[in-house]
Formats: sequence, C-alpha cells, structure tokens
Amino acid sequence: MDSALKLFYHRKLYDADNTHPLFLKAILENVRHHQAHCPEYAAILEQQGFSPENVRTVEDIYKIPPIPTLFLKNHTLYSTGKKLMFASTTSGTSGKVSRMGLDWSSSWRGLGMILGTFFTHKLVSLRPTNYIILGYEPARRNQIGAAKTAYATTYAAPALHREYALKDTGEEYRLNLDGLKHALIRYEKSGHPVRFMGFPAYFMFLLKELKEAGIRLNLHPKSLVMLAGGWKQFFSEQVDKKTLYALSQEILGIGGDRIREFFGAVEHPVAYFDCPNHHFHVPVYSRVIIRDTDFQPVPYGTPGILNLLTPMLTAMPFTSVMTDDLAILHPGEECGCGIKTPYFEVLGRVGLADIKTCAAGAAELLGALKEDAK
Amino acid sequence: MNLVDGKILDTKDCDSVLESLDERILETLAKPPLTPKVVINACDKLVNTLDKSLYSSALAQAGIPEELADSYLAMARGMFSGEALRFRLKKEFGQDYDKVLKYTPVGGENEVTERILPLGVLLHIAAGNADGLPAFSVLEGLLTGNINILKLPAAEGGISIRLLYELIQIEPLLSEYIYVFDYSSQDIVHINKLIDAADAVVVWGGTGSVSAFRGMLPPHIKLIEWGHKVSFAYVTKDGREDGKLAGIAKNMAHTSQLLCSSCQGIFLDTDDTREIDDFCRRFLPILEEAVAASAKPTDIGIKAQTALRVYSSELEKIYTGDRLFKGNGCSLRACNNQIPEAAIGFANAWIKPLPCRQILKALRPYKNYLQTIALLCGEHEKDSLIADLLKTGAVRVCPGGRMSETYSGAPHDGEYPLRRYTKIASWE
Repeated sequence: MDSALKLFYHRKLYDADNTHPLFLKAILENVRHHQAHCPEYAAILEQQGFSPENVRTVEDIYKIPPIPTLFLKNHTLYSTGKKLMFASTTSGTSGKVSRMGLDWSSSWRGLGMILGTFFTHKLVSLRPTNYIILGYEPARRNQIGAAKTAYATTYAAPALHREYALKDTGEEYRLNLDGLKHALIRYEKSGHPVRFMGFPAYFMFLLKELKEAGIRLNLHPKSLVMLAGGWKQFFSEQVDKKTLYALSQEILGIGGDRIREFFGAVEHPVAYFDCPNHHFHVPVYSRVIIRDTDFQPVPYGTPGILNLLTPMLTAMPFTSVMTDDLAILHPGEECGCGIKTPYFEVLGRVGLADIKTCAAGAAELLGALKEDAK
Repeated sequence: MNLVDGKILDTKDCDSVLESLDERILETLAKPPLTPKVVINACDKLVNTLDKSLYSSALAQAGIPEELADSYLAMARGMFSGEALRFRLKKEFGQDYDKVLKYTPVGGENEVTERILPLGVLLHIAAGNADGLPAFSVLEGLLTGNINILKLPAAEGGISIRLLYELIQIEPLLSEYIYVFDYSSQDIVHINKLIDAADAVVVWGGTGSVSAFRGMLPPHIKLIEWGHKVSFAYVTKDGREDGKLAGIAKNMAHTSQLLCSSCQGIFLDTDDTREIDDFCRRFLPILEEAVAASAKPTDIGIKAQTALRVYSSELEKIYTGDRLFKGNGCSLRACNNQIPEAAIGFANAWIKPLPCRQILKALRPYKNYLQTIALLCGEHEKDSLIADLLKTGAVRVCPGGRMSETYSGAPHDGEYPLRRYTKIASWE
C-alpha cells in the first residue's frame, strides 16, 4: 500500500499529530510522481528552483511551489496518459473553467476520504431517504463539479427519490419550483427522512418560496440539510445563518443542528465538513497554509491567500493549489468542539467584488430563472 | 442610495416612483425646455463651492489616494466651470448651437428650420472604474437638455449621488431632470422598466456589459456605447529619454492602470528580444520610483489578486518564454507577442517588440479597442508615426504623462459626447 493510500484510509479523520510523517512521505511521493509524469509541472518546479530534497519536515511543505487556480483555468495539466475515470469542471461563470480528472488510484483515495469523512460526521445512514437537490440535474453534457458532488452525496443514504431544483429538459435547465413543492409534500407524507443538498442561497430561496406559498412541513427528525459553504458574502441575497436556521425550523421542522456545511474546490477535491460549531477543521488528508501577498506563510489569525495541499491526485499535479480565496487559519483549540486540528474561515474571493464565483453565478442564474418563471 | 425629486430614497420606496415614471416624464416634457444656461450656472457654482475635504474623504473611502483625489477634483473644476462648459458647447455644436437655423435648401423652394434638441430621456448605465464618472455622464445629459436616469454601478461609493444632490440644492429646477437608482445589473425587471422610459441608453463599461445591453434593448431604442478601451505607449530608439519614460511610469503608478486611458504597456520599435530585456532593466527602476511616489493599494483583496496574477504570469513562462522582471511594488513582463492586451494592473505592465513598419498590421485587428497612445520618439519621425498610429483605430496620441489628462472640449473615444445626446430636428 503506498503512503497516500495509507493516509486516506487512516481511521481517525483529525489525527494530524500522528500522521505528520505519513503526510510528509505521501506528499513528497506525490510531488515526485507529478515531476516525473507531467513535463509542465517539472518545468515549474525547476523554474521556481525547487527540489523535493528541500522538504525535510512537514513544516517545509510550504516550499513546494503552489499552482494558482488562476493558472489552472488557462492550462490543463495531466500526469497521466491513461483514460480518466471521470472529469469535472468548475461552473465557469467567468467564462473560464478549471478541469479536474480522477484516475483509479486517486479514486480509491477519494473513496477512503468519503468513507472516513461521512462516518466521522455521522452523515451515513441506512434509512431510505428522499432527496431535494438544490442544483443541476446531472446530464451527460454537464461536467459541472457542483452537480456531481450533489449527486455523489446522495449515496450516503439509500435514495428513494431525487428531485432537482434545476431540471434538465434535454436542451436547457428549468427552475423546477412546483416539482420541489409537490415532492416535499409527498416526502412529508411518506414519513422518510429528507436530505437537502446545495448552495445556501438556493436553500434560502426555497424556504422563502414555501413560506410565500403558505406551505409548512414537519419533516422526519433525521432529515438533514447539506450546504456548500465558504462563499457566503458574495451572494446577491446575503444568507444570514441564524435567519436561515430559524426559517428552516419554521417551514420544514429542521433546526440548525441538522444543517451542515461543507467546503470543497474542484482543484482540491478534499471534502471539509463543518464541526458542531460550524468550522472547517483540516483532516489528515490535507494541510492548509495561509500566505501573504509575497506568498510567505502567515501565523494563525492573520488573513491571507488560502493554499491547500493534498497528495490525493495522481492524474493531475494539484499537490499544492493556491486558491483565489482569502482565509484565516485558527488553532483547533480555539473552536471548542474537541477537534485538535486547525480550522479555516473563508473570507471571500481576492480582488474586487465583481469577480464571480460558482455560487454567486448560481445565485444570479436563480434570479434570472425566477423572472422567467413569472 | 437612490435620488428622486432631489430627495434621497430607500430602494423600497422606488417601486412607486417607477410606477409613475412615465407620468412624471410627461409632466417634465410638457414644461419649457431646460436651457444650457441654467445647467452651466449650477455647475459653475457647484465646482466653485465644492467642499474639498468632503470629497477627498469620500474618495479616500473608495480607495483613491489623496494626491489622485486632488487631481480629480482639480480636473473636475477645470472641466465643469462655466467658462469650460460654454467653450465646450460652442466647440461641439458650433457658434450658434442655441439658435434656430432657417434656410432655403439648395434646389428647394420653401424655407426650412433646424434646431439641435435633446434626445429626451437618457438612461445612463455607469461603470465602476472611475469614481464620480456616473455624475459626469449625467451632467453631459443635462447640458444637452435631457432628462437623466442614472443606474449606479455596484462599486459606486456615493460620490455621484452627493454631487448630483448638491447640484439640485443649487438649482432646484434640475430636480425633475435627475433620477438615480441603484438597482443591481441583474435586476432585469427594474432595468427593463428604466429602458422603456428612455429614448437612448448610454452604456459605460466592458465588453460584457455592452453586449448584455445590446441584447436587452429593443431595436428602436438608441444605444450609446462608451466601451472599455486599451491604451499603451510606443517608444522608438530616439524616444528613450528617462524624463519622458518617467511620464509613462507616473501614469501607470497613478492610475493603477485602471482607466481606459491608462498605459497598459510599452511597444518598442525593435524586433530584438535582447533590446526588450535591456529596456526592462532600464525602465524598472523608473517605474519603481513612480510607484514609491504614489499611494499603493491597501486592500488585501486587490493586493492578493495582483500578486496571484503576477505569479501566474511568471509560471506562464514555461509556455511562452516571456521574462518577468520583478521590482518593488511593480513588475515588467517582456513578451514576444504583439497583442495590445490589458495589463495585470497596479504597475505590472508588459513590454513588447513592434517594429514601426509592422504597426498597422499588428494593431489593426484591435481597432475598436484602442484609445490613447503615448508616443516617445524623435522629432524627425513624429509626424509619420502619429499618422500610422491613428490608422490603427486609436484616437489620441500624446506624451506619456498626459495620457489620462484631458482638456476642455476634448473628444471622448474619438467623438464629441454632447452631439451623441442630441438630435437635429427640422420643420417647415
């Protein structure tokens, strides 16, 4: 078993202290693998004067040249000539998309991660469950990562039925508000738990629509809401957590303790789920470095550019990815939930506010579709 | 913030204004027309009583350093003084712009009458890259007698509303000629209502917003576009004097390369890459000096974005062979291509080879995007270079330090703006 596979099947999700040596070994193996198989990556390492020998301890991993997502939106880097299992892209609201592909070895690691994450966070259930997916219905022509993530999460509990907010008509996506309303009324009667997946703005929108239509439900107590978080401040309609929780309790009977957030990026497919205090702690599979504008690491509590590292991928050299998010890293003890690893708080995208993210783009689409539906 | 009838309104109160917008406009149109004199007097009074500290602090909040804010205010004073506006009207429309013209046409028998009239109602869709510009667009609409509806850009820091509010305080007659709304560009329903009320839509902004409005407008509504443009410098061997180069550097540092007229990069009259690299080494300290003398961006978001872009372009080297010369707070990218592209900004510019005989061929494909070119050359080659550069589609040639400065009565993007906001009506 290679080091990365060992890491991804490590049974304790937040046991960073005991996995530093394993992580170091895995990340260096990953760097060497990409250096050997991706000529562009090798050229970048050389240009930046980096050699794997520069990294002696886990504290040195900041020296691995990070690849900015900005660069990946213009260039696709592969470390394999082999056929990929599946490919995913960002939703590309700014006109450019990043591509991410998984081969078999990365997929096995991903599976270990999903199992570890879902079991630790008690997201796996054997109860038959109905799903409301607040996003795109998957389609052959649709490579948007968000659609795939949403679909994949429906395997965490056996799916009875899935209803999509954006339904594929074969040619375009239609806002399926009536479908959602009818499905929810049916779901309540059926007495099975319901799981909601999607962006917070979508969920808020749905709650308001239900309220306007005078619909009040009391869904199964094991129902769960899973929201893609981290981008809150760029929604056209700001989602305030407390208002959202209160409205969810009022309309659906699902309170804040059953609403969970996760964070992920196409270029860094590690799943971060929030702890009971709604913080994203760093699991054993990855490390998070916050950098200043000279790209030097900054201490806890200082805002900077979010750099994510994982040895997960073998098909693409995304070992160290520099996102265009600003974030702060906090020591684990500050949270109080008991998890020891640090947690990060995403502040928003770099640059001026007019730079759009998937989520903000989605909020925009929603607004436009709502007008069309009138 | 919204401004209607000279009063600041909450967005929720604007719905009733929109409902009655057509009636309000009809009422205003039924009154005697707004004369340039009223507008000129109000503008003159406004710029002469402008509370400098108030605007400096508002501009500072919007991230504009004090020195630049002062020069903006001085420029505004110069451009909107009574004298400047009277000069401008005469220059754009001719001496008798406010009089009716009566004549018997060649070959005709009856006398005809012609007169320059406002279009009626202008909807201004303003861009967020130049503070206060939304208000200037409205002032031009007022000067030509139009009723003006301004949709504020998302990034507007309140300067435009303040200017227009004060203008109405000075001249209450103008209150019914000025509407300001801050609906989001995504708010299609409200924007469509504003479009319905307009004779013409004036769009300031990038290709994205211009094409969005091209798609949204019914064919009978006139679209007046002021699209984003690219400006750069052209430097020959004889033009490479440090003093002149400092003018270019100052423009890059002062405007952060954000304006249409900001210098994005420099084309050198050469095809030798070594000469390009040598020039980068010479120009970098000049640029560093200009950067050190201007206020730097303090916002971490902007700084991070710029740093990521510079780093990305450094990595691009593996494909392009470009060379990056990093300075203190600035950088130069020595490129091999001849594309007049937008730079990373904030004094991170490009340097590219362009032998003078290739100017037309290389730049012509970008004809609709080119605006100002700073020309640094010897006297003996100046005239022929100006002629060539203007054939590319560019509309202005000037020294480096003057690129983002304008003068009273200057055309904008090659046109007289006031003419675009009027029509020539005839009757007999």
